[in-house]
Amino acid sequence: MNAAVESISIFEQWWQNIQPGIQANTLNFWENLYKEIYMNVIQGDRWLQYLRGLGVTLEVSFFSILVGLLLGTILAILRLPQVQNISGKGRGFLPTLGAVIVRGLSKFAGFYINIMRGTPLLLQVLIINFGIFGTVRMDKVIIGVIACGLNSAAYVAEIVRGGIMSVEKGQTEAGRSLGLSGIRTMIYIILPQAAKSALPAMCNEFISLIKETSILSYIALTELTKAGDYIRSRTYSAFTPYIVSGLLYLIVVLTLTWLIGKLERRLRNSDH
Amino acid sequence: MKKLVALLTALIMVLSCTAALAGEIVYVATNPEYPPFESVADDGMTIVGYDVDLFDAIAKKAGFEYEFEPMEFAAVVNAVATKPNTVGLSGISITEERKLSVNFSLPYINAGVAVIVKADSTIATLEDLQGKIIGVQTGTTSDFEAEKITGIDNVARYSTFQFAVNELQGNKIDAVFVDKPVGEAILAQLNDPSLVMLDLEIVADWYGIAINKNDVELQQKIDAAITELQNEGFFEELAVKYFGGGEADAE
Repeated sequence: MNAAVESISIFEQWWQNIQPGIQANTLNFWENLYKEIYMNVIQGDRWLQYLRGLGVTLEVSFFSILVGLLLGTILAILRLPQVQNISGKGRGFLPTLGAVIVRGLSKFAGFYINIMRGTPLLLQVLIINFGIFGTVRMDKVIIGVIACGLNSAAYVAEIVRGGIMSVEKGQTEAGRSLGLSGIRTMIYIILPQAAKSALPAMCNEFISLIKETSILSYIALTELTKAGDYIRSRTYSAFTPYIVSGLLYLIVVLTLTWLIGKLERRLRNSDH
Repeated sequence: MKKLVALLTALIMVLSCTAALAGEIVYVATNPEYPPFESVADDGMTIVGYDVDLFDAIAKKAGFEYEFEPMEFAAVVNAVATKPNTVGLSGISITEERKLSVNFSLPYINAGVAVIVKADSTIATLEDLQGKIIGVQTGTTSDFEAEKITGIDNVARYSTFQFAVNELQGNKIDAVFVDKPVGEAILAQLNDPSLVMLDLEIVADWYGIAINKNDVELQQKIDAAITELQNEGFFEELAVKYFGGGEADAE
């Protein structure tokens, strides 16, 4: 905290040093830039607002990705052809009933994916906040995670399904012939291979999700976009606050891309 | 040539003097882009609204004719300051700054920040609002005032105040701060008995009619008319017409 206060005073001193040469209305580009940055980032510890917004964005994004991955994988498995056409015929009452339930769930999964991909996230957020949780007082972060997570799950489901279907049929047959059950084959043999081929598309989805959390500013969640908006409403600068927010998004996304790139390279080592 | 100019000038002076003396026409500088106070009706010509109805009643009481001069809001006070026999009627807040260049009539409506809460809420004073979640429209006076009262983290900032009202209806926030006339209009429209408006005098923002400093007689006439209208309950009628029966706040 001390360091932060000190850095401000240095900036302020520097600012004041250049100020005497500045006449009103005759600011050149650089002087204007200094002024804008001072006003929108330094003054009144405004940079803290961006960082807190960034924190909320990261929090919502992280938990939304978790929800999306978990729910998306379940949806993907339900949408597989072998699950869609499961039949318990001739194996007694309980397996038959189970098969009927699974087929129903599979139908529902398809319906769910169509609805979630077919309507804008903004609408979903508004419906969840003002409709479904219209009278429930809870942390806006949780509402954000629910909305973004449920939305992302639909996209993740299709990515995971694509990954699973890209794994050769022989792998399943090998697993089953080794005596593994269908579920164990899926978890230990198919999904790890599917994850590898789905990784680039998944990275894409995570990046989209991080940026789409900006929509949560509509429900008064002060994430990164809203933080920029808040500062704009105080300084009346139309440009700088959004640029600062944008740069922070960029840093997050580039870091994520770099991390996933590293992971991809490591996974590729097992190809040979 | 010089004589002609002098003659013309004299003629204009005489004409303008008689007009001012007789009080035939008062020019009304207004910016008709501020419903429900003043806006252009659907026909694209007539100016209508709260202020217009009010001024029409004043003119009838005081016995003068008037004519609108639409202009930018920023130009209204200026026009009144420089042109005699001109008044500014444009939802103008009475401020010390403006009082330097123009006079104001009696204040006729309080457009300050109002607080909307649930009818069963325990909030009754400004102190009660401390630490409560207050919904606002980002960047409005309400936003600034709410931040002062409850702290930066307890203000829920929406893109429009309607969202804030929805959240209050769902009991997800504790109060909504909004411009008073706007709040009255939305409460009337919603007709939701679970919402009430508190007048905590957060910021007084009284509107007045701006009058040229030299038009002392005109000011007296307008003030007398406002007082008379106040006694007749005219402001209650206006409030019913424009805000659906909210509190009338004329003094």
